[in-house]
Amino acid sequence: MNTLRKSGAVLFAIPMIFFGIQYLRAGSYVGGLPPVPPWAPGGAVGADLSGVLLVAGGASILISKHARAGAALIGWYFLACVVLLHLQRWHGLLYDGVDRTRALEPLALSGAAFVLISILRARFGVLLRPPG
Amino acid sequence: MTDAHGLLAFALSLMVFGYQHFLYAKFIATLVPAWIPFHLFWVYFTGVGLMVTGLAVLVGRFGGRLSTTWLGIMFLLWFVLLHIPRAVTKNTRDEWNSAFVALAMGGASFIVARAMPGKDSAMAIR
Repeated sequence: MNTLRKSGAVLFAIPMIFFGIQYLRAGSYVGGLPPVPPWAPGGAVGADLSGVLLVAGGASILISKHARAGAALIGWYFLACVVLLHLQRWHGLLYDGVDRTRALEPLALSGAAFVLISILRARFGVLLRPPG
Repeated sequence: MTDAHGLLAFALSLMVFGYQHFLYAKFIATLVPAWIPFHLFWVYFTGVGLMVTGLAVLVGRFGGRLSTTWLGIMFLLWFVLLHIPRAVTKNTRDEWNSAFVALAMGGASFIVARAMPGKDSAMAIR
């Protein structure tokens, strides 16, 4: 069970890289591909930027290099998409299951990213703690 | 944003996902692989699981660590048993995206499980 729990960061990072590659391949926002809704402004540039950001964040977690920064990048980006974009269509959030799911998936994943930051901070704190 | 805010966001999302299993039960039942019997039962069962886990994370006790671990296992099972066969068969972008959303939710559940109070908890949130 503990091995599974410890694999969480890796299982979280791989899809982030996948989402990023999907944005780069599509060159546009795609419905069902978190965190950006398909109707968001920004076009191809926005999609490419999202792609680079997600690949960078996911890769940094995966290789444990600046993993906290990577988790923060993903957490804040996902949360910003929920607050600034998804909430604009609040009517859909209340009455449309698809819109609601597409907004709550990035919210849940941003929440996990913020928890991951704390886990990594706690682990780092243990390493820095003086012996005895 | 703190870890507590993160847990709150995760827990509330889970509870709504669980509620949606009851709201859209007939549609979700069509996603259950044909070889698995009692489709509606699994839709309701997983819906209750999502809501109970959300509540346990929100409260921070009552087996939050165990239930989020099992939630992660459930998402991994969805990824392997439900989404990957659909993605391979249909080979559409939507199916692959859904598969990796399930995998990300599995990873997210394990991350949250590590943060829950317990003997070998990675941190002490409360």
